[in-house]
Amino acid sequence: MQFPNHHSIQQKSANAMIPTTWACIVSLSLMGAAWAESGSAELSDDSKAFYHKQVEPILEKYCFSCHSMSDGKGEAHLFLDSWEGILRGGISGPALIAGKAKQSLIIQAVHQESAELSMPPKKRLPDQDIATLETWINEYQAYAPPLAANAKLPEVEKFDLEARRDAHWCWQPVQNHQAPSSPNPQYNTNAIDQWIDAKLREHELTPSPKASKRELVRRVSYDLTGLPPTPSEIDSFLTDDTPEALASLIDRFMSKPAFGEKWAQHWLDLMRYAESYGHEFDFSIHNAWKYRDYLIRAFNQDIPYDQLVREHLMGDIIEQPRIDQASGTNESIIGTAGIWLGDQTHSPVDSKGAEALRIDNKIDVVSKTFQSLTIACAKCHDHKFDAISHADYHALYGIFESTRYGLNPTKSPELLESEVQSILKAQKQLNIDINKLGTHPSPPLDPAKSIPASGPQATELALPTPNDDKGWSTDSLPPRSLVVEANEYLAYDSPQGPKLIQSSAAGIDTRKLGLNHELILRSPTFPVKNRYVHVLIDGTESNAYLVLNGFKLIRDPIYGKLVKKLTTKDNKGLHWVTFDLEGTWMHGKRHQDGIHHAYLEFSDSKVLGPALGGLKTQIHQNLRGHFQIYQVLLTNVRQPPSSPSSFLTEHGTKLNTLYHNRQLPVSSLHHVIANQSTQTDTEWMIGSAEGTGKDSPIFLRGNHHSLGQTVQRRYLEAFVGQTPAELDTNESGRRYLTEQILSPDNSLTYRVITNRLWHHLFGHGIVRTVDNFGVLGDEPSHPELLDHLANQFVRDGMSIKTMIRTIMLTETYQQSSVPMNQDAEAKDPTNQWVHRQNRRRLTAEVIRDSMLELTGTMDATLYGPPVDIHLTPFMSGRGKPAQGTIDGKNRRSIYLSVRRNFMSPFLLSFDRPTPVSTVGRRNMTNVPSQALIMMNDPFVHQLSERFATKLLSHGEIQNNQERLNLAFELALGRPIQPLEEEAYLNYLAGHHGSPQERWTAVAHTIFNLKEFIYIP
Amino acid sequence: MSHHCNNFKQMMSRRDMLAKCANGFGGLALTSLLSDKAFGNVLGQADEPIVGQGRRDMIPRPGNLPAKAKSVIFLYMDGGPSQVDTFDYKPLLRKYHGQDPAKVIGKIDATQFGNNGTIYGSPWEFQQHGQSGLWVSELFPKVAEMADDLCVINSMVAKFPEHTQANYFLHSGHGLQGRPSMGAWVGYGLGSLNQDLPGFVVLNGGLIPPGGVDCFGSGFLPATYQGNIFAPSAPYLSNINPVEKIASLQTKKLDLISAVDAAYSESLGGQVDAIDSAIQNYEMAFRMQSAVPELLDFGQETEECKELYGFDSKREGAATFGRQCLLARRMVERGVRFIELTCPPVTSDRWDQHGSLEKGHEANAGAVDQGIAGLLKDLKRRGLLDETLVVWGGEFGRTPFAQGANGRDHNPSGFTMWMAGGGIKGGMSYGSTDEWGYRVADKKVDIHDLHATILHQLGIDHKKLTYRFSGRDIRLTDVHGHVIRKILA
Repeated sequence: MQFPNHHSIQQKSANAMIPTTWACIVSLSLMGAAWAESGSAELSDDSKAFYHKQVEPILEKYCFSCHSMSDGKGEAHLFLDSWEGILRGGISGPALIAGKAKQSLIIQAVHQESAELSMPPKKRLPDQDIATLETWINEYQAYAPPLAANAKLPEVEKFDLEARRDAHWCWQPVQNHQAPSSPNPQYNTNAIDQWIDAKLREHELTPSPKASKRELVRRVSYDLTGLPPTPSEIDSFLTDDTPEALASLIDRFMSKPAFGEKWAQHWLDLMRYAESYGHEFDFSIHNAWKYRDYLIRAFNQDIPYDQLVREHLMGDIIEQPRIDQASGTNESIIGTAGIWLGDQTHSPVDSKGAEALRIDNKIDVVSKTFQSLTIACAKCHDHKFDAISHADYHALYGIFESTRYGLNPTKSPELLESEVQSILKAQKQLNIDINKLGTHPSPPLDPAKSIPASGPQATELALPTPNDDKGWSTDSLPPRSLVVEANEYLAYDSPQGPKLIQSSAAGIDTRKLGLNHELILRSPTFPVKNRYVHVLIDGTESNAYLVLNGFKLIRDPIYGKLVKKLTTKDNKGLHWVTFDLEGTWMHGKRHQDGIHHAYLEFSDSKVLGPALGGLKTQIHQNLRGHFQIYQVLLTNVRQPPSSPSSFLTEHGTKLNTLYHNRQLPVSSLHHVIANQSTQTDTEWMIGSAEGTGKDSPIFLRGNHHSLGQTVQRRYLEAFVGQTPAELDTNESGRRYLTEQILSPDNSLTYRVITNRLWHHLFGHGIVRTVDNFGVLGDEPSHPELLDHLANQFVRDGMSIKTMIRTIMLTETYQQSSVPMNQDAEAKDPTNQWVHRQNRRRLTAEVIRDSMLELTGTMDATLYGPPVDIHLTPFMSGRGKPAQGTIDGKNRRSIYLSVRRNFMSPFLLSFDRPTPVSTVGRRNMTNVPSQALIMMNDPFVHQLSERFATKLLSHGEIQNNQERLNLAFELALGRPIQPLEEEAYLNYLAGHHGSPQERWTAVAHTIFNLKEFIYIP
Repeated sequence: MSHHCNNFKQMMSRRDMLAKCANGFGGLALTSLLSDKAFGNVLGQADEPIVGQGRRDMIPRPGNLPAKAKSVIFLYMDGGPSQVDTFDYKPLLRKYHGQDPAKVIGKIDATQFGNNGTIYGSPWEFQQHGQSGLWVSELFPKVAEMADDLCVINSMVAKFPEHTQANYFLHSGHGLQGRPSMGAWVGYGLGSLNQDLPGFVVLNGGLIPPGGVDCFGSGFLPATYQGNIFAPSAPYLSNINPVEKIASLQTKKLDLISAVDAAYSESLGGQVDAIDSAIQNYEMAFRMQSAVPELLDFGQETEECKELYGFDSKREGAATFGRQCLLARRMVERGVRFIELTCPPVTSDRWDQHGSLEKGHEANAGAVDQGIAGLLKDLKRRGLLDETLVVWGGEFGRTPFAQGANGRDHNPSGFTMWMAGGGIKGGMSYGSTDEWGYRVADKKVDIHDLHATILHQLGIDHKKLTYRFSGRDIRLTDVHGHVIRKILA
């Protein structure tokens, strides 16, 4: 049989493939290359012979058992026993490109250089066989026999994003539905009850009656504050017979600071909040707890949800930062810490791989939290189920890769701006005044004292100029304000007194703002193509970092070379600092195009150095540093050009003369100094900083060393199509991303947040899988209701408190958690139609907090650094923190330290999630270790003793009955029942210890009652 | 409409309640000793996927393959023992000792510290042992006596050259925190043969590996399946000792609690499963309180047996580790599914000898050699080795060239683990590294393969043990893993 020539087959196959997705485009372009290389080549009989004699036996031996039509197995859809099968390739694309062995997947696979693409699975081809395959591809046009005439490659299911989007509810726009009116008038006061009632009637279910007032006050108290109601709160609600009783109860609880503490915890779960980085040494995350406090304030102040989202994603570049009235700090910028609370290794051998993991985690957290999508599932391939492509993942990857880890000043930006501007103005005036003198106070500057030529083999990384930041940035002001031009005068507050200096070369000089001003300066991101980065620098008490692949947690031994310290002790004056990138951390070839990237970061006092290192975070406020940068060279030449020893002229003595002669107004210099020295200090907070906007290539099969085509930074194709407007290189794209998420047309954002609120008030969401609205998640039980909530939420100004209040005031929320009858339970066993409330177990934190609260020993202090937890003997290992007291200083659980490697066993046992990724719905397990804790843990025992003390010291109690009743009122919010009383009195009678012992035992049993840990 | 909430307290009669207060937990203690016999081996064949969304119990259940082993003992050599100094004999290293590895071996991969020295021949002698003639170095003289029971896999690879990630990877098949440990997967898949003891136990020798206790976590699986850590000294298990000094003080409390709880449950119409299981948990917890001390009581063990495990050894850490090994056997006897042992802290820092290899490896091997050998011998003579899979190894191996002058850096590209018992062929080695003991040359086995094989021996097809989380059906072996068929007996 005559086999058709390759050209025609390829064309046929190509036509058969419709490029509906980006992945197909990749395939297509690879095929294009194949045509170009082999299309015109005449296939000789030699090729056939070579294949059959040399190649086929190898494929037969190693490949066909899993990848052939003859064996009927096409793992990963790959069939290697026909040319058509080879060309179509498997899930990773065409198996080879004729003529280009090196670029061919099959060759990459048999070389086994990456774990993701490594074949055959259990062995390695002998080198000579690999060579044969390479020869086959390069010299014999990779001839393979055509498919038999009547054979057909098994279909591969195509990824059809549009079809998937059209088929799944969560992508459809939020609708405005008219709520059905109910025959039962009590449900017609609001749309929520109407929608719920409609489904109940549809399923012939009877709702439960209203919960008792006692149950309601307990439920509302726990849901709003995470604490049990006090007996007096219960009483005043029971005696309030007005129709507004519940509404005013809600308002009272909502106005307590405890509201923020309770609801911030839910948000912390979404942000996988922790105060340490985990891994080997469990280093601290600088000031993470300030983010926790920020959330508590935000929920208490009912910051609109869109603002909260904006602050999380772009609080550092927000137009009008939100300033906390009490402290004057910039709240918006603190919000950006949220995405940086993931884990971190301290010395990854593969820095690029480490970056990829961290960005993956950010994508996961952001997409689950705000959109309830599992975008991270599209890391290695198109999403298996949802309308999310592999390219979508990398479009977002680019946005997060362009976002830098920064320490940000929390000082009010307005204040910062005005301080800086007055200094700059004074510096300008000083220059005008000096120049007015006509005669320069110094001799002409030496022309030899200028910046050396970069040399032919070096690329210069341009520094900012007075009119152009050249891609550089600082934590606050535009870098151009730090530029000092050649011969410009500059005054600053040196430790030896005011100084006037003049530089013969243009550069960056932080003394322009004075030594009081701390700042961080960052270069644009550049691809790492050269071995050396030389920086011509001067200064003291400063740091220069080379941030490779976003890796900032620099620490010896491996990464020590990437930080250079300028100290007073070894004052080097003007000198070259050289970063040598020939290091083990690159894990791959330096010159591999586009894989590694870096930027330079300078901080102008030692203060920020270790903090930026991120691991050790002591702040030394008394060290004041400065730096000057004159040139940055990227080169393969080890030796930097020779430079002068200084560019500077100091005018100290000359100045005195000038003042003396009253030629120079003293005030113009002192004005500078005064403005410099009155600058106020700032706190520094981890968070996001803008980086150079950079699109990411696709990581083929999720392997960051195997790069596909570059994808433009954009949001999901399902929302914005494949080619929205391009983003500028001076922005990461977070502003754009925020706009997309907050767009009124986004079908997810407002459904997601209202569903979360519903979940926390009912124990399950309208969509139960609160973090996954995708195909593998649950469908909404009440889709119209969900849309109603989303619309209502937006109409009400995205007020979380308003939505909570609205839900709480419904009949649905106020139902009893006990079913009306067995029938209802049988018809709706999972309670998806909400025929009753759910009896919900208290969360770990709430159990602990309740014990502290009802024994009257809670320390209700708000905010502050984390409190050390009590370490059990089972908790050891590197990074072990200080031992805390058993009672955690009586603070609410939200203030207990959250260290990844040293999580509280008590809280973990009751399902506090380990901080890995977004958890909107906690596990609710029921395990014997919980019983063991409640029975035997020293904390529970200590609190039992305190409860006993409280019961015994109550002045007005006459007898054991009253005391038991008080115990029940405090712990369970209800009086003791006669049978219970009898059982307890019997128990007391049989206990022969001291009163304190007896009542400690009673208290202990009450903490162990199931009723104690369930919301009625 | 009757207000059900107010009349529920009458549902339980006075007699019921008082009766409940009087006799529950006192009697329960007696049942604990019986319970390990209450469940037979219910492993069977079904070839069905094992998925159990919502499952959180330890009731024994069949796997989906015929099981060879009931329990696993994982001897975890924290820090990464050197393959070329233990079970992977490479005489060429001595020949080229002191030479530049780049010249002798060729391309050298990135190492953790990047402080590579010269080729470092093993300071220890190797000998062939047993009828099988397996090579074992003099670091493990006692284990060497059991050579014919070992299946030494010389061709292991790990994905990460850094401890924490490698530890997570070895334990959970994933290089980051938060996935279930293999012991948790086993409990989830098969339940436990003993309802009074946890199904997954970590016998901690005194060191918690980098990555912390999350190496033994249940991840997204219910907390039921997480590893329970037994400390090397009292108190052995968290919260296992009653706070009450006298037993009756606790049982009376528990009786009272159970009575009030029962009334509460009834008041809800007995509809709330969670509350009923919470009530039952108290019974299990109570039984654990007595089962654990019984487990820890070595009174019935003979002196000969204790000696076998090295209770009288003078080597640092050996008695501690021997104790853990004996405890492991006692747990196997009681049906605990997955028992992991970590190393005792000896003079050096785990097996992680970046420097002073000789001193550190001597100390580490000295601490574990006798205990391991004693365990293998004891299991064998009791007929337990056949149904117990013993696995030995660390998160990666070490470089055949030095780090600095006298250490070895991490090497994930080729290292050794061994298995014994549990339906694995003894007296064989499987796979090999190159002549330097550096990279795998033949029959590469990755961690996923190890997991697949362990599950296979327990009667689980690793591809069919899944849990849906985060939108995916997740497996211990992710999308990888092949059972190493050639080592199955």
